[in-house]
Amino acid sequence: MEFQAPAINIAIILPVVIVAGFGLVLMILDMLMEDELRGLGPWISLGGLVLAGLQTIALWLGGSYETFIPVGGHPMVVVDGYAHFFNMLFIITGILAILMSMPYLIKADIDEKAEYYMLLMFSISGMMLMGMANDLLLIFIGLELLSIPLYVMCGIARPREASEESAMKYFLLGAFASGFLVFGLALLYGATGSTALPVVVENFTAGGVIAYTGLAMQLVGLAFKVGAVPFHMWTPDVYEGAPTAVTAFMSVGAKVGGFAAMIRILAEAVPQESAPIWTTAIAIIAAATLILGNVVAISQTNIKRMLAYSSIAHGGYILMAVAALPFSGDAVSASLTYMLTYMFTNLGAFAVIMMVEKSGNRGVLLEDYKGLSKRNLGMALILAYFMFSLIGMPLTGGFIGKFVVFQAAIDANLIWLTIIGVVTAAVSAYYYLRVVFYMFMFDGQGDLEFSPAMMTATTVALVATLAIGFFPGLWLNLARTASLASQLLMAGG
Amino acid sequence: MIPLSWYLIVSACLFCIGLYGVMARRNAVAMLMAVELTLNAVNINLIAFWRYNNPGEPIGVAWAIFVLTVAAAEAAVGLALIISIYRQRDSVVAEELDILKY
Amino acid sequence: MNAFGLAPLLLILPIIGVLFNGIVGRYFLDADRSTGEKWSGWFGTAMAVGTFIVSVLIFFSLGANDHHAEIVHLFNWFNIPSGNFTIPWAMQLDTLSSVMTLVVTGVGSLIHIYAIGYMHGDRDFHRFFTYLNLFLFFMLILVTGSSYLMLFVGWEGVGLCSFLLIGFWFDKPKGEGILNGDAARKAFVANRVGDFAMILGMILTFWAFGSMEYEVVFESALDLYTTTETVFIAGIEFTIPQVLTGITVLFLIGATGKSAQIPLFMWLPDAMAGPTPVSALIHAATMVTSGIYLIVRSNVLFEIVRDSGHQLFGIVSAPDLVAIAGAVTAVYAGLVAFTQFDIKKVLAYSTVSQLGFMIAAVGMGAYVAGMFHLVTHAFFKALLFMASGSVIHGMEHGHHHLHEHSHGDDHEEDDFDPQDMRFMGGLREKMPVTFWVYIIGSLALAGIFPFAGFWSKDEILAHSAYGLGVGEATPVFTFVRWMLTIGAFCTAFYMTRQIKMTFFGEGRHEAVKHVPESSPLMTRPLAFLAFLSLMGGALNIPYLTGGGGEEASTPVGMTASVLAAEEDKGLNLAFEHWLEHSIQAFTLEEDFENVVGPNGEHFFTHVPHTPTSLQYDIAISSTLIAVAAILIGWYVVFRVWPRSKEDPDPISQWPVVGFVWTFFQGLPLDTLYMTGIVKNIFNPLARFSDVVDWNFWHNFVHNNLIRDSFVALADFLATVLDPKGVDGIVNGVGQTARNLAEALRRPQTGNTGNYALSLFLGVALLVAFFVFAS
Repeated sequence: MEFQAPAINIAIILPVVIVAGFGLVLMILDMLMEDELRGLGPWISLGGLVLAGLQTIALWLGGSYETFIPVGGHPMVVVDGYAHFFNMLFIITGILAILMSMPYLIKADIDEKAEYYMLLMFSISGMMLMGMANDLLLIFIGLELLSIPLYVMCGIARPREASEESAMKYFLLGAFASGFLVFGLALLYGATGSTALPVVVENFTAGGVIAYTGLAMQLVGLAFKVGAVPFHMWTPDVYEGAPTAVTAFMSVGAKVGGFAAMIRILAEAVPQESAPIWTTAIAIIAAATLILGNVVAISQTNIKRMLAYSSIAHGGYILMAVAALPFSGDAVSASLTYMLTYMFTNLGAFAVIMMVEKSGNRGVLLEDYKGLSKRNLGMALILAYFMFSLIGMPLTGGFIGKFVVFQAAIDANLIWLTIIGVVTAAVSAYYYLRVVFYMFMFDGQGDLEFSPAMMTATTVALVATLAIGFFPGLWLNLARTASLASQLLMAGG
Repeated sequence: MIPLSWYLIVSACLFCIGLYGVMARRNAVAMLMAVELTLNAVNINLIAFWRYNNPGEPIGVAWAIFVLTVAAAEAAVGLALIISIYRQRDSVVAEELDILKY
Repeated sequence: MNAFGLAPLLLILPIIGVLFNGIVGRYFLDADRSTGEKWSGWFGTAMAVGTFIVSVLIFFSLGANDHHAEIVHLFNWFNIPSGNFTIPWAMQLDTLSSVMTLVVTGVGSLIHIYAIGYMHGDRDFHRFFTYLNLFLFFMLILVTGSSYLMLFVGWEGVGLCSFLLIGFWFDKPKGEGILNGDAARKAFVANRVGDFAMILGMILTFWAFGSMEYEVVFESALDLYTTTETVFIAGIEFTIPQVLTGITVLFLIGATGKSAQIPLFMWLPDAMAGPTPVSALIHAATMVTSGIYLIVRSNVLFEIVRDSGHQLFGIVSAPDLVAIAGAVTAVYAGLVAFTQFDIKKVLAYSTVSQLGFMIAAVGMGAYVAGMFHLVTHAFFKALLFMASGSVIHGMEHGHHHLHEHSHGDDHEEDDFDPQDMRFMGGLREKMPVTFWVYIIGSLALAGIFPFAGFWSKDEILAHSAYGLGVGEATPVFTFVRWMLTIGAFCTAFYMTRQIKMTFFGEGRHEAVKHVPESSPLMTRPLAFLAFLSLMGGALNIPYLTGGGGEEASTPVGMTASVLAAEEDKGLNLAFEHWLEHSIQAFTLEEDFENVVGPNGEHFFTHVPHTPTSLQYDIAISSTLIAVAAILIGWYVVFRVWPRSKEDPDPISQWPVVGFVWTFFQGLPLDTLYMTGIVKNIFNPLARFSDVVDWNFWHNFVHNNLIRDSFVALADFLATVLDPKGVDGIVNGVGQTARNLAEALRRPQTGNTGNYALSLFLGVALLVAFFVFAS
């Protein structure tokens, strides 16, 4: 058999190549360089991300919808608006996470500087693959590329026991869940004879029970990543134990990555006639996620753990839009908008939390927020705004996200789910406002440690949340153009 | 010729043994091994499906190799984590890792 | 899909609350005071919050429905098949009524919560919540009805509730009770005059167009107008502009009654005798705005009259009359507000004045600006009233405290009045939360950038200056503009005076020393409204330069095509984009562009347009005026105003000013009312009603029928329902949630094996579901 190299258009997958390539460069640097040069790690990775971002923007403006076709005639990668949107999301997440990590790693006495950024870059490249994958195989690889570096990053604060424990738990459960995912993918492959999504969707119905079993198991793997109930158990422990910078990165990146693949699969690999089955399942999961996340957050005393439950709950809101997928033309753009607002708000909130945190994982209890307004009014106001945005108060980005998601759910006739969403959003006000209450109603003292990088990240997140809150039209349009082709057809062009 | 379903049954059994191992074993190393078992079950599945359904396209084989690679990477990371924990606590019993709860 | 099917819940939920509190509330209170209060209060509140959730769902549904209105048919009231004549009961859910329901139920829910704290310990706690829920019911009928008839049912109903609530403390000792009853009757009578005009207007509408459904009336009015047909009423031929002039003027009189405009405004300041939550909800945020809602709803009729140029008695056209009435009221009430010493009366006159702003706006055709001011005003005026309630509450506490600790020392202070600002002062340190929210509310009311009031007031002023294009202002528009500018000056001035007298300086009465901050139940809704007052302006921020793509120098009005082009450009004019789907006046110019009348005339060529871009000249000048008023006010207070009740009133001694001062302090219209109406009509009626009320109603109906039968039921409920269980549930949306959270966090054991098991169970369930469902 004569081997023929497939025609690869490297230009269109350049962003992910750049990110992964910079990761490799950092790896080599870490091995070869002196300690002083290792300090360049964050700057090199920032440079790589900016380059990848520019390339993504160039591709996006160019409207490049080409695909990368390896073997067998079906594209493995689809670089459409949807992929560009997610690539930008991950790149921005990465940039903000690096900005926050630079001062945080020093504060938390974490030594492995270049290694940390290398892992971060690999993880981002995995996320980017999830957004553009058009093949079950690539989704699996993307997921592992996303996860494995994260396992290590969670434990990077060793010898702190909580950090090690969180890494261990995340690793064992993550590996367990990805076992389900890959088993499900294998079943789908067996039932439909291919791993390419366009073929899978054609043969899905013929695949019968095996195909459905495969789909269910594969959803489990992704639901694990996004922290949906009942696959959420790892989330609070890992978020609490991991270094805060990693928690911030993971709470956005891993979750959004999971949704990127989940939405692509459900929209393009599953035929319309099976929609009633999986939407019911997703809607029930969404309801359970909303209720559990929002309710259990009330009883938390550690702010990282509280935000872990809060992020479970936010996953529930996105799942609402996913459940509306086959019935509403706006569902994908709604979930994209939600993820956009969630990214900025959550990262911003974590940035402030990192500033309040003290070395040795102290200063992360809600108690420590008492009187923050007396210590630094500006930071207290900024954190209060992020809390308002997480609740979904009008004039914040969070409101726009919730607005479009609820609208999509109503459009899909999921009224019971919308009511649960509205009520749990009201419940969530209880624990978010408690933070605000603590900050403004008590006395406190001591200065906060500022650093330019952290302030930059906070400012970017704040400005973006404000911008989405006050000028939603631009962002909604952006999300709409980034919507999947199948959805655009449904929305009537 | 042995029918496809036989392979699938073997693979399903292997997968279930793996699941059982993760849930029942207390030693983190044993749990890791059980996870590897589930991945191997997947490999049997993949190769069997490839051989019986469409041997023309090498997707199944290629995928099996990817799964092997990933499994190796996971094992490396997992063992490193386990060693690191062992140094701290002189124990690799997963149940004893419970600082983080509720 | 959508949630419009849930709309009847808007009416059902409050009625459940009314039935609950009205029937069993009393007996819960008697059985156990604190549990009873919780049941009563939180049940009523839950119903209000329920309607708010439904309103939110309808709001989303409208978005999902491309903003198209939905008529939800409830039932036919009556039906005469032979005459092909049906009067349906239907709810019209469109973007306009959605704004109103959100304001009514949103502010309403907050005020319910606040009232639980404010009414704590009141003997008739349950009665209060019965009335509040009943009010909500009628108000929601008013704003969601699809016809003038349903609007009128709500209109009368809210009037009734207003009467009941103003006179809520009709049995207060020392003559206050009688005064409260008088205030309630005054409100009712003034409203009756307006309502009579409303009825006439509706009859005329029905006569001319054969229906009272909004859509039918507007359709046929436009149709008849553009074909220049005439209608016969009582055998006399009228042209459409003539008929509509009659209808709109009658509606205007109706609106002046409900929205407290000249000449029927004098009931509103007296209405402050009611409990403060009532003042905030009914007499500031919602009921009094129904006149504005009526005019906005009837915008097509007003625009036809404006376009036809028909003038009432050849003097002034009906829309201009609306604008003038509003503008004059804005200034008159603003001036009267200077002279008041009662903290709530100042706010009451301020409300009258602000309602004047809104009426003037809708009279000029600035419907969105009027509605915008309505919404922002609902935020900050409800805030101010509730904050003033907090102050009064505090003063009462302080006074009470004083008495408790002056054992036997028998100096009676009969003239102490917790609402009199002359007794206050220095409350800044005693009530920090109340103080800060008061400041925010006042800045919003005074129209200081960037608070909510700035944007809405500015939009009205910009319309009066440029609503017809540059250099085209009619004398009426110019008149309105200057009147409103004076009104804005007054606003900033009296608010400064109030804040300085209340919160600054030294306490002018012993009671001030013992004033506590109010309970969180009261201050939390305040903080929430303060947030809205701060940010509410963002609902409808105009373009900062030009009209989007238009040239920056010419203020450009809003037409349908401009609006369409501006979609999705951000939050600018979001409110306008939202309302345009319900306000037909926006599209009249385009709809009738190609329509030519029988005599070759064109229609709707001069529909006024509110500028879409920020008018910097107006914005800056009005801000400067407000700032000047604040500075002058700050300087003047305590220099010319008496510091305490005993001091003489120096200002009344001044030449000219003193005359005006005493004139306004004397409240000329009030005097007329008290001597003319009360003496001759009320007193005989009072005797008659006393017989009916005491002998028939109280003795027979209440004691024998209602009380005895429900005592049995209450005994049953009190013994069967464990009071502690009840307590737990009610106290406890919070406590229950906390308990649930405690229970739900237990499975999170920290053990990886358990987590894996949970994951596996999830997989098993999901796979089983997929396999069986396929």
